Amino acid sequence: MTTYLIRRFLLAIPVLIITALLVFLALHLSPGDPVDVIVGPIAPEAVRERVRTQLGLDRPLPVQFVVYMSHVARGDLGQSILSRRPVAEMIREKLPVTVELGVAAFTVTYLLAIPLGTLAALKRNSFLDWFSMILALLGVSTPGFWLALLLIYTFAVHLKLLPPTGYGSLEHLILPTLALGLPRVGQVARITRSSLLEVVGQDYIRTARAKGLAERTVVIVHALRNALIPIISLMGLDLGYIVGGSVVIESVFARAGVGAMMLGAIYSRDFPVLQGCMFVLAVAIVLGNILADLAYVIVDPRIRH
Amino acid sequence: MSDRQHVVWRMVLSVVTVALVVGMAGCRPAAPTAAPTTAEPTEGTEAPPTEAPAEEVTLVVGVANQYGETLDIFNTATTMEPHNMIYEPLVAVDQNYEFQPWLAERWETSEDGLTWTFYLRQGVKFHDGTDFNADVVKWWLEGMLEGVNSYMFESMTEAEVIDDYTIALTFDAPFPNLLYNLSTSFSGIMSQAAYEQYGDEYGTKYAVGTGPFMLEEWVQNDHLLLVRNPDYNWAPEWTGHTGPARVDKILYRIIPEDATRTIELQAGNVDLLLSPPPPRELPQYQNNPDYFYITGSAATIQFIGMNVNDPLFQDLRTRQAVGHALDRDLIVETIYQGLGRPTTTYLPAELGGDVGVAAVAPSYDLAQAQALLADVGWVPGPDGILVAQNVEGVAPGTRFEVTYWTYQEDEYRRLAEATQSMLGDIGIKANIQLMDNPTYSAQLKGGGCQAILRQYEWDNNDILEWFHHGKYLPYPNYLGVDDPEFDAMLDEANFNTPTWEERDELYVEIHKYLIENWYPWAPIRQAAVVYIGRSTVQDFEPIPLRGTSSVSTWLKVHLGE
Repeated sequence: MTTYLIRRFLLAIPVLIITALLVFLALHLSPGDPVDVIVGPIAPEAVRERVRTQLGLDRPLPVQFVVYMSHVARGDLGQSILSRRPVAEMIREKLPVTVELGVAAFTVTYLLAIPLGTLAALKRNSFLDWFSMILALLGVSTPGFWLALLLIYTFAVHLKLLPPTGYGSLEHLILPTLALGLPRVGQVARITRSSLLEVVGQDYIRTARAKGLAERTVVIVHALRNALIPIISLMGLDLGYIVGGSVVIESVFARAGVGAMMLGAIYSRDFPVLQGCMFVLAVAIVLGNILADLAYVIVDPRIRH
Repeated sequence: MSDRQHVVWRMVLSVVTVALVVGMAGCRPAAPTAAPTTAEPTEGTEAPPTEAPAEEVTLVVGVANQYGETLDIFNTATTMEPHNMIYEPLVAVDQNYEFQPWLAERWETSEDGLTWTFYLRQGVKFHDGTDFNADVVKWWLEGMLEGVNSYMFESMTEAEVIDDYTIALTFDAPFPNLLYNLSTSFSGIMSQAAYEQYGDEYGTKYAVGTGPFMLEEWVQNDHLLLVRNPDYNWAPEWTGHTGPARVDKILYRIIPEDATRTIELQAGNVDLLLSPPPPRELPQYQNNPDYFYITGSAATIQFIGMNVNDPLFQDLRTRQAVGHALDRDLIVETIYQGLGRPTTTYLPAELGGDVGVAAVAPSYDLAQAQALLADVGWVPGPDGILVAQNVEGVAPGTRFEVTYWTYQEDEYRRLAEATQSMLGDIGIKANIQLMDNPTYSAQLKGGGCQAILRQYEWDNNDILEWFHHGKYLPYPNYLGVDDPEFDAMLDEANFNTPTWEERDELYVEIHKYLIENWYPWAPIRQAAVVYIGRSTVQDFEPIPLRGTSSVSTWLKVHLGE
């Protein structure tokens, strides 16, 4: 087990380096120059060159990349090209806003979806089953943006129960959480349902029932544990995306998080900020995957390393 | 692994997972950390004015975008309104768009026009208590010369401190534009002491000026909180209010989504919108007792640019035909709901550089457009698109088809489609390509543009020099105007006229010449600014062309009944 873990973590390192390299190339090879953004359109070439040299953007690409990675290894994500603030500090400041929403939405999605999917599977072809399938369809078809605005108009404007924008308190969290968490409920419920249906047909479930175990025990202790395996892989990926945040939801609710920061950095070609955010996102996704794999081991005794 | 180890592992992992979840949930966004602490919660503040403590009035301003990343003027080419709340320039512009004293009480030019002496206002202090004086101004000028805005004072050879409140600037050529450069949002004087003290943190965490407001905190992309400078009492008499600002605080909120920004205004959480909703939503605020609605001219001109070196556009008459093909009134009516001013000239009307120029500029006249194109040698092809028959420099049979670049924003997409249709009416096929800002600039720098839909935002006549002087080839003179006679006229106006007035007069000639002899732009519209706010906002007076980029606007605004 421990060797497995160590191996996974070690494998993560080349993954992260390659991700960083791809992001780096994508940024530097696409059109658009951060120097233009800093000095503005009305600046003589001499000033442009001066700024470019100051920022180290005139060195060959491989050199820039190696220098950047060596800093990252030491925990230094560089400085924003435009504001000269340390990127690590910027991310540290914005991450809680994004993670707060991400965790809340994650919780809402799975807390609603798994029971819903389970009931749908157990009471197949009933109203509940039908309902969850419609919900799934709605969820996939509804633009998050639209749902967000709908929630705001209903709860903030007409009912005046909750604040429309901002972050900081529980009240500010409710609407964005619903906007981000609800659309996925149907989808996850359906996966839970089909996975559970497959498991429930297996021999060992019949055996468990034959043993005289209560239906509830059969479902929860035996069936669900196996049915949850695909769900766990979903959760692992989702955990990673919590960090990336939803740019759209953050924008609509004026929650200045990592998503908004990345969007701004894209428009202004602020490479260090973008690279830093991408790197943190990559780390989170890799970790999420490792956690998911670990969870497999717990839930499924057949998987041993 | 044995059963026991198995159980232990499960317990460890459960604990870790729970700890992670709890930890992340408990990871609340940090409470505002400001050097001077304030009792008022600022994150997502939305207490309507009536709920705030009776003595403390906060003006909440909503904008769509942060625009600037730092308040360090040496190192940024973008400014935002807070620059005009925290900092003050030496010279300001009034409601008649004339230069007036601000931190400089008066000035004089030497006989040869090379030396300007400024007499500074006394008794002015920075927010950190240090004095505003000639030494700081000298430091500031030298700092500007090393920063990204050095072009503003490039020709300065010496800044001499004569005494505490007198400074003499010498240039290597007459510089009639100096007053303009000393009056912009980039011309606010920063505190030398603070700048040196805070190093890299200056501009994002700290910003110290002499203005009516002080920076209390800035949470990037979320809000800036400014507090009144209680010692401020040195605004010049002509503003009508010398004393401290009339609100206790300004909360400058960044709300990117149009819909939520207007919701906040309607909910009473925001008092004033500097970024208005789309034109089609504006009518509900006009003639509405709960809101005020102000429009004014913006220093923004939208135009179609044509590459004068491209074989298809190289004939002046062709470009003039494009100018004749545009139904500007229709565009302003339908796309902009009547906001803004259709224009056939290159400069904002308020600058005065277009006196009499409209008479020589192409206006909407389809017949004339078609006649000109026929003159050049184009004939309509079977599908209505022009085909070259007798056009100099173009192989016979070539279709008049061009790339048409523009911004990706909604507004420009619609404008591009409308103008594309109008160009189609005279037989020009324009293929629209939308791109984001940095890409657009990169493409223009790369050369090879044909037709572009673009805008400039600048409140000075010298914009004509910026885009069309030979020394600026190939960028920003990407349309390729290359005319030594024209260059000489520009140089004369910029570097050889001692006064602003004479410069203005020369620019009228320059403007006319450019339109009559080159016509690289087919202008469409001068944009308008729109400000909407709750009716409790009083004495809100933006300046023509500069809008809210003026200290006096923020000094005088207040909330009342």
